[in-house]
Amino acid sequence: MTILQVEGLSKTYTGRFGANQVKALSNVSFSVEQGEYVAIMGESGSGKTTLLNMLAAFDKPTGGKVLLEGRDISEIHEDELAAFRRDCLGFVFQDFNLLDNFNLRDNIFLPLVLAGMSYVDMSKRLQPVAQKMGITDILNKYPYEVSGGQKQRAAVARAVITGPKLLLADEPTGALDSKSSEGLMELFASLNADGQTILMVTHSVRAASHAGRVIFIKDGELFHQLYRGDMAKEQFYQKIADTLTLLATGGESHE
Amino acid sequence: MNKGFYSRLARQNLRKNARAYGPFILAAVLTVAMFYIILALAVDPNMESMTGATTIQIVLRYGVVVVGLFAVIFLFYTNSFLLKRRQREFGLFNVLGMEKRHLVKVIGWETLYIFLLSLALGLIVGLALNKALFLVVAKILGVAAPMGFLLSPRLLGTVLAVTAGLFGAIFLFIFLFGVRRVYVARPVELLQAEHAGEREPKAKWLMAALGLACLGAGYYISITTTNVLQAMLLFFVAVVLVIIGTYLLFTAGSIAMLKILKNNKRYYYKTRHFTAVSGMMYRMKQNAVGLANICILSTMVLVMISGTSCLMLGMEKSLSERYPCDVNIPLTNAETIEMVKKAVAEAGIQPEDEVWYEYVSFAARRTEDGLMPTRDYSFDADSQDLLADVMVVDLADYNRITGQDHTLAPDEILLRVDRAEYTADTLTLHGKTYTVKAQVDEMMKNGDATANLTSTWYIVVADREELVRIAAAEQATGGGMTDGQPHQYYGFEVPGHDEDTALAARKAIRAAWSKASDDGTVDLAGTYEIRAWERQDFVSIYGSLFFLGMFLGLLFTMAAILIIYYKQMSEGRDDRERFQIMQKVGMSRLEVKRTIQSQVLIVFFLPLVVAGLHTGFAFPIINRVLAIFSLVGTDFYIWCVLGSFGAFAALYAVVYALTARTYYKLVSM
Repeated sequence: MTILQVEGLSKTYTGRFGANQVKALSNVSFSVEQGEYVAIMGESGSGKTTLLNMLAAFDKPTGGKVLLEGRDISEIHEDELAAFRRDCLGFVFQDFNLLDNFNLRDNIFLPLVLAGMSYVDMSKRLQPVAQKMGITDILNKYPYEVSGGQKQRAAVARAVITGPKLLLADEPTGALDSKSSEGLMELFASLNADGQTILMVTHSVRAASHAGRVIFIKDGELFHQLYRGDMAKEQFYQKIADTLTLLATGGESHE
Repeated sequence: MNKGFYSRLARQNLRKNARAYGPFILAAVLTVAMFYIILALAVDPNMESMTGATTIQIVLRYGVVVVGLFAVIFLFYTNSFLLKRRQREFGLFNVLGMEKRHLVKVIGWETLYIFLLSLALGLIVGLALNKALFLVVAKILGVAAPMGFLLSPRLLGTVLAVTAGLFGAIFLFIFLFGVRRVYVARPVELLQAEHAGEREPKAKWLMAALGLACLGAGYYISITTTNVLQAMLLFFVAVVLVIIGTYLLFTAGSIAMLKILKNNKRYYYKTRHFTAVSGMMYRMKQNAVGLANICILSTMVLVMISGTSCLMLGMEKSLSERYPCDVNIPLTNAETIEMVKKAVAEAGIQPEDEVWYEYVSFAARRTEDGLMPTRDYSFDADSQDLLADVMVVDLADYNRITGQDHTLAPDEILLRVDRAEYTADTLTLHGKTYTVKAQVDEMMKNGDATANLTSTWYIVVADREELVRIAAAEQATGGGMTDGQPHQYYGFEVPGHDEDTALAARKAIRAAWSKASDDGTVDLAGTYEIRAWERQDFVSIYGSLFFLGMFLGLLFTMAAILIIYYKQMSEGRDDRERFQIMQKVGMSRLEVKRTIQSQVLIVFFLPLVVAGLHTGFAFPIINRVLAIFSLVGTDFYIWCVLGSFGAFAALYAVVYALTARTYYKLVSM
């Protein structure tokens, strides 16, 4: 079943007085199936973040549409958007975006509280999630008291506790050391194995090599796609690296 | 390094931080101006030539001290806001290779620029407004301002030097404080200083309880102190208790209360409470002291302005209570009245609405069943409630003057008691027990009886014989009666209540009085009180208090506004980040805005509400203290308080609207 369908998505930023039109995305189309783990790669400025903002309905496209389970998200009314994001999407950010004045437990509870869930139900939900993330012991700590890896795992817990249809991750390993990054990627793989659909923007080859599919974007256009298939992680890693080199040297490739 | 580099960098910094430094410089300018003005007025020799100005200058000299102290605290405090804000910038300079001594040079130049700018502008504003305020003072005193009212060059120089010296010292301290900040901190700390203080605060239960106790005690004193003398003594105790209580409750109490809310899981984990409670906790930690400062400043403004305006605006009423007629001759006798009438007639003044009656007045102490005359007039806080001032008149005079139609049996009396309660049916006086036929409201006016701190008992006896009997009994116990006869009261109005005529009458009476006193042709008794003459005394005392109240009120209001502005600004910067995160996690823009708005509203108006509460609880005690100076009564003071609060709240709301704009600009940037 298709969870996410992106059709001919374009985004043009217009400068003041209509001057300096910048094409951030042009005519990007792809789809994500239920249970898939997709990585989106590209250099800085290639339009990755613009794409993600569009998928999360933080920004409106200037052309094309984004369908989540067949529903056009640009048609969701402004008032419902927040609830929609809360219920259907989970977010993991590079800089964690945890609130400093909440401890980890309350940070994770935040979306549930916003959805109006009772404390008893929230606690029931938290227990297995915290266990999976390995943060059960530090739930009472504050963000400034724990390491970056622990912060990011708390952020992941916050993203998945609502049971989102799609988990969106924006450079989740960007602020982590290699060991924490590896741990986080294994966590993502394990979440994916449990059936969680994941879409991750990254420019770390190592992170991308955990995914089932990698989509490459260059200058706002879809450049290439790689499926992992039966490849081993190392093999896939090599292939991604090769594609990136091709991307950087300016080759033309459409599969 | 290039000569002039630091001064240029300092200028650049000030321009770059204009939004932060602008209000500070403005405040410094106004503080300098106000200090200069009050100092100049306090030493202005031209003031001395104005009637009543000596009193005003004494009051103003107290004002100089208050304004000076205030300037030190206020500028130092607001500057610390700025330093904290720029900590990061200093850290960055340091990391970029600027040594600490270079930083000190930059700070030195900045402080120097701010000082010179503030002093120059402040003195210009001060010089300009000095003249205007001199006229205001003259207007309050109701006299024409003398012509040359600029200070002599020598005096002007002194005033300027004192002002420059004081503010020079203040800015020197501000500079040294900044230097200390730079030297004790390490670069990394400087860079991170802004992010310190995000730790969740601990609840200090003891402090919170202590705060509650202090506030309660202060309020209790105000409500329960009915005794005027005690009220004056305890007023300052209550003020100190309330100030301590306010600081403790804002800092520890607010956090403790939020902790209780937070520990109640069913309350805390609700959409609306969740962000509000944690957000408030964060805010209170950052701003508690600032809010307490605003609260206390606001309370001071409210109390000062309501109190002094009550005195000033109620002055005419007080005067007419204390001096019921234009010309009053109390405690007198027939011979003296004849003399006064003659003197007034010779001066060509036609008395109108003459009032004349006989009365006996004396001091007494309350007993179980009535009053016991006493010669012991001394009283202190404990015995004040027992001491009573008694004025006895007879029924004929009473009915004649008040236009009533009462009848009394020989042992019956009419009674009116002010500032005390008496509910018994009988009253014993000089060993005789009377039946109280009725308690009455109407009474002949007598200024001496009104102007008392003690209770006043007006007794109407059946006839003149009874009055004479009481006068004789008074004399027998050694009272102030010279011949065992009742005293007389004589008063009249001058045509058109004209002030000059009244003063002319005074001149005539005074001349006759001193002549009679010298040659002994008249058996003089009593004294003469002319309302127009007494007014000048009232005006100089109340007027100077009023002027100072308004002056300080303005200064404190300005301080409160500035603190509010900085608070809004620093909060706006912090909230921006939170605003963005919450949106990303699934709160709609509108929800976030509403949440933040409600918190800002609470934080903003909390000090005003508490200030209102303080003022409300201060009402009973101030009302009692005011009763010494003014005779206008509680109703009038209530209106003064409500008026002051309304005006202040309106101003406060305007400031909110203005600063809220800056705030939202920062948040949504």
